[in-house]
Amino acid sequence: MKQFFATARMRVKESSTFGLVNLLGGYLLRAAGTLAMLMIWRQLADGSGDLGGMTLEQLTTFTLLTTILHPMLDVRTPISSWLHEGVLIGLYQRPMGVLEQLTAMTLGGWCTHFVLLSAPLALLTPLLGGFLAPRSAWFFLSLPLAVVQGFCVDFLFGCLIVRAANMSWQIECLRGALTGLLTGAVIPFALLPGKVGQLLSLSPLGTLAGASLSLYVGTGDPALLLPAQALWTALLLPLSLFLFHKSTERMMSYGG
Amino acid sequence: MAARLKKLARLFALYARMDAQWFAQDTALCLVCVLSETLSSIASVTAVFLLAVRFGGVGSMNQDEVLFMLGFYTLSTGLYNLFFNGNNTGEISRRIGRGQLDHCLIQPLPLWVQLLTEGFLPISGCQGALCGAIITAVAAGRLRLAVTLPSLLLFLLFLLASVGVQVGMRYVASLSAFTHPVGSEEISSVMGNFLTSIGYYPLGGLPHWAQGLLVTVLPAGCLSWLPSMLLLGKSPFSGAMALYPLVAVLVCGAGALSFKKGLKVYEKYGSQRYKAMGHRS
Repeated sequence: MKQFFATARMRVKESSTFGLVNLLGGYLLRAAGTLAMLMIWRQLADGSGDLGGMTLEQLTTFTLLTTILHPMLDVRTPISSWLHEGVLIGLYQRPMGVLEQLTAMTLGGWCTHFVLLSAPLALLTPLLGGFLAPRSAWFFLSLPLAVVQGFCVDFLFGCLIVRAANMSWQIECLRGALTGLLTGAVIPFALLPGKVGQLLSLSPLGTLAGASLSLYVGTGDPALLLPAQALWTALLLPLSLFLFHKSTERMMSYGG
Repeated sequence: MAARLKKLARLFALYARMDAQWFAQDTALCLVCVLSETLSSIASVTAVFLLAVRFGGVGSMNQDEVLFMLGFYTLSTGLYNLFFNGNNTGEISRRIGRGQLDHCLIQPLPLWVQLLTEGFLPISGCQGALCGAIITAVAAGRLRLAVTLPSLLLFLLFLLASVGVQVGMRYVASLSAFTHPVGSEEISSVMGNFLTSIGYYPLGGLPHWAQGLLVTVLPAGCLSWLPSMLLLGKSPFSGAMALYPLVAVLVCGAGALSFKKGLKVYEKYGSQRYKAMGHRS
């Protein structure tokens, strides 16, 4: 564990490599985006009144949580950029498993987000019309499952990049667009028309963010969502580990 | 003037040929890029469209008007990708921060000519624009919009303004990359991400101060909401028709001035990112 925390600490220090301008600039713009989204929901609530069974308070909390818990709900290890830059090769020279290093680095990377963005937004949540305490205690089981599942999905995307001969950028673009729609992180599934939301909420990507968030705000059914999350995690975990080890021999990089 | 235009055309043709050569040399890879770009373009606006379907419209726009706005957005961001995605000519802070302006300054071509032409990707980067054109045409058909020469010219002018805002804001942000090359290497893409993450939402129901902010200081609303409202004849506030092109011109001007100011810093200090061994610090 000492190695794990040392690696995570390295990542915390690396977060400030690009300086405060870059770090704060990005977080400020993300906070501005979240506030704009809150206003959009408010106008929708004013105009329609029907928010798919959600109250404005729940929708506000949902949107704020999307930003507060963002790195946990859409887990991004550095694997894709490191494959492209050739950094990943160096990890094999260290006395620690590559996946463990990637996990430690990712957890370390979350610290700056939590300190600079999540904490201030969480403090502002009641003032912005949301609530802090989760409506369902099942959230505390759902979130760790979502995180583990998120790591699996990220490693699978890493394997895809290896298979596709380092098309990191294209796969990242595609992933960004698909996860925005399919994970339920941008727009709650309850607001989607017809059965679309119900179907997506139980899919492997839909349970990533949508499950935990809907349990937190009290709109999700734990009897449906938790088994779905457990099932996808049980399937994706061995699959991602197997495919990652199979991909090892195929790794190549042009180097930065 | 004619000679300059001829040179620009020759350079665009050169970059088009290079992009086509990539397609010929690695067709499978290029096709995956094309597919990924197409899916990304459609997926990024689908959520808002589904929202509009669910509620019969959003923010004083009905379902078809939202579709028109999303088409405009896809077309505008697609055109940005088509002309400014190659060689980081749009994400200019990367080139500044990495010290790669040196490569441009030794070329026997004016810098603006290089930056205008180097990003052209007509084969691998045209999918967004094509998707956008199709979505806009479908929406215009559903809305039974009369296509006349003046309305078409206005549409093109607004499209140009929307692309100008995207490029201009990235160049405004890039000023800090001249003074903080490491810290601000990604500042243009941070700005771009902000604009594109808000740029496809109908902002009609927002308070006036928020609308004002989002069409002036942080002009994400200028990407598609404001121009679409104007093209649909639903001006959100008085003077918007004059304000929109003005904001675009001001943003482009501010981008050019920022870049020019930054270049003076660059001329004085250059870039200290490269080590003697050739690696970037």
